[in-house]
Amino acid sequence: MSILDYYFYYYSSVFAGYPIVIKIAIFIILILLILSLMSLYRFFHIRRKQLLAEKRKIKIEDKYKEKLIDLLYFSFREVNVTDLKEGKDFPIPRKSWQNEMLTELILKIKSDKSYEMNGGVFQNSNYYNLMSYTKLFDFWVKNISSTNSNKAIKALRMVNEIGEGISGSAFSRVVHHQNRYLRKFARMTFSRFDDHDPYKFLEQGFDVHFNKFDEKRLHYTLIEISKDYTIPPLSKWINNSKKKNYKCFLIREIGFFRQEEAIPYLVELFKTEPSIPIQSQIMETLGELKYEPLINLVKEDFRFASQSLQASMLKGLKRLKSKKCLPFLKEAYHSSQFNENKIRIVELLQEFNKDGVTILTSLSTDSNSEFEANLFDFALK
Amino acid sequence: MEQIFHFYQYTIFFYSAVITFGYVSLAILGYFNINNKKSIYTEIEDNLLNSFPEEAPGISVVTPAYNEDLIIIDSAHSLLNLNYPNFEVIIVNDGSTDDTLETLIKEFELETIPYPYIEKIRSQPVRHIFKSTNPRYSNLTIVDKENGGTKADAMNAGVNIAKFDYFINTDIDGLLDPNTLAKMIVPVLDSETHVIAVGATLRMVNACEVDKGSITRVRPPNHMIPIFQETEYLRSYLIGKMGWSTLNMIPNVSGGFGLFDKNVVIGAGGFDPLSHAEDMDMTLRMIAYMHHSKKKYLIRQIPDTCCWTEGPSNLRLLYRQRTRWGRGLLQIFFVHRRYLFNPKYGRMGIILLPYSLLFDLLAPILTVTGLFMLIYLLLNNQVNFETFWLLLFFVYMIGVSMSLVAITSDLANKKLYKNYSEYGKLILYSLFEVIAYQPFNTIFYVIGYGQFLSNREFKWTSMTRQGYTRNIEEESSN
Repeated sequence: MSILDYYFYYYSSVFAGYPIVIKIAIFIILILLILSLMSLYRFFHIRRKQLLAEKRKIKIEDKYKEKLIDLLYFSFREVNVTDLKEGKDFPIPRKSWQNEMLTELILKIKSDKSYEMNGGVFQNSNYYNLMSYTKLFDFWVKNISSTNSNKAIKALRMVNEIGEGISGSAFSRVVHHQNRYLRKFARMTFSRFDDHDPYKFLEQGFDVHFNKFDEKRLHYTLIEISKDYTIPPLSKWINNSKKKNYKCFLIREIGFFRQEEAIPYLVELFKTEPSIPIQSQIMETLGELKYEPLINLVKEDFRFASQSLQASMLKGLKRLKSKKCLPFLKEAYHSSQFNENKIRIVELLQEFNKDGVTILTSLSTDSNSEFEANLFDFALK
Repeated sequence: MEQIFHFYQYTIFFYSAVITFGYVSLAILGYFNINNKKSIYTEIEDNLLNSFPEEAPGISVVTPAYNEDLIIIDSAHSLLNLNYPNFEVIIVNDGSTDDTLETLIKEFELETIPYPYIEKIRSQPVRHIFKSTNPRYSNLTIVDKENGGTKADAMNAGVNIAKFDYFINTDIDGLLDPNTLAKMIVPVLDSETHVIAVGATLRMVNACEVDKGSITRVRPPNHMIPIFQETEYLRSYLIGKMGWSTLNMIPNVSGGFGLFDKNVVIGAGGFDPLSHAEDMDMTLRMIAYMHHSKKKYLIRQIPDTCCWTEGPSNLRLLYRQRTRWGRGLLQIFFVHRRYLFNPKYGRMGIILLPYSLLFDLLAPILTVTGLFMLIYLLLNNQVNFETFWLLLFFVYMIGVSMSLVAITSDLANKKLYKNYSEYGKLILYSLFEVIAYQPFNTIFYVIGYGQFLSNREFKWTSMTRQGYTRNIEEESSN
């Protein structure tokens, strides 16, 4: 008989004659007491952990900080792995907490710009040699495959922060993980670090749960990749995805990475694509790519476009910033039935200085509402 | 008569048992939700938006002010100093009769502009719109409007002028964490489903050290009532809302601080100037709007403390605050009775509002009735003291255990107080909360119900303040 069974039968016999209400009350009180005791235990446990972490942090800083600053900013020569081994200034951390805290300390020193202001120069090669010698990178790569999702997410975060090449095999376990946050993060990191097939997931539509935050992170990843390699034509992946937001993302990135060769494809897609968000993104990207015939495209469809598509068309023209669109803007002001878009047109006209002011003045003479009077007073003041 | 008493006593007992079950379930859900959020959102995620300003979605911070001459400058500077690359601050001067507007004009070098104002949701007429001539304050807009009598009316004017898709609704006395905007927008971005609102934890500013609108040292309040309220807020946000959030059933994104989708707010008709609980009213109408439009939605809650606000430091101010909440809660059930038990409104209609009706609205009434019954039974010598103490301990333990869970969750999420003894102070006070605070709360709520039923009119009033630039432990009513 287990200890729990013993107490269950013991208390059952003690309260055998009592009414059900008392039994339930005692049961609930016991649960609440256990909850309270667990919370108190948790409180002191967290306190102990936090104090220990503070103590350990000080210990690691005392042991490494000065030497790290010297190695990373003021050594002014390459210190290779053999030198580090012989110098014995940087003992290799053995315990998990030592690895974690040393990594955090190195990253903190790396991101601190004050050392450069004091005459230091960040020694990239020393940084990578140190990571290699202390096996910190290996430690985090190993943690990526941890069965604990939180630990794996932290490891991915660190690998991204450290920023060193890593083989795609390190991610094999997590790129198909059921935890969607971990899976997407792993795919993002894979795209950034894998040498053999970095665009594997971008090509396949990235992930069925791709969202706006992934857009931001993938944008960052693509920027990092573009520092070493040319980004391949993104338009070829648009048709592979069924997700509208992923398509929009790719179209936006085409503009960011100035892939002018994608313009004919985008123009064609605009004419055939029924989705308003995709059409809107195409308008903005064509403006970003300084595609002059965009004015004709906008002219054709502006009157029949929804408010959001009209707004994107105007955004596209704003990015294009071509004087050729001025006659159209005058026309668009009259044809738009949305006040918010009228404000956008006026703001856009303001950007063309003298030419814009001439049109604004002529439009203001036809204004027939308090809103329009205010709008032109605002624009022409 | 005796049978009625018996029935009542049994009902109350099982009612308390169900409440306890509800609290424990929410505490468990909240625990997992906090752990999950803590693992996936860190400073690195927040900083991502700051590193790529062009990628950061715009946010409008809208705050109404009525006779806030003393704190308006510090508050405005605090908002303007938020650490986010793409935001605007809109302060709505709701027809203040003191020097609020003049102080703003002088400090921020404001001038009126002929702004093309579009009234998408109704508010009292806007008199002027001011922008600063100093480029440093180019993201500041002051809306001067006629007094509408309520915060809701002023918010509507601010929402009409907000240029971004999401806006923060906050009080002028609320001090925001510098990284608040990134923290609030990340859950919106990190979701496939449309997030219509995000809430965060609020706590008391009363004993915190504040320098030029920024909190330099977080402390628990020194006075008894704000300390109780601090723990109460932690319970509400870290257990209640974090728990409900996992089921997408947050009933109320606080009017003190919350992020809202502007288009959904406008679609739902804006804030209701006649509501005494404009935040809950707005949240429910936004949910109803999404159901009418047959669109999926999410309301998220984050465990981080993003806003510090002044808590009432004496019973008179607590009375004002809680009677208003009481009026608001009862009004919600009158105004939105068609949502109740209505499957057309999904979980809100069949779980959330019935739960709120039973355990939020009725709880004060049942408590007060129980108190009168206890007095009657005591006078007639009909109390069985053997079971009385047991049941009293049961009720006491509900409050204490939930407070302990909330305080520990707060510490686990992020250590904000410098010393652990300050957390100990909260724990110590939570042992007395059931006796020294909850009875007043309950009575004030019931008085609030009475005020609503007697149709008395209430307007928002100015608050007695001393300013933030020194330590404050002062009066407030909101």
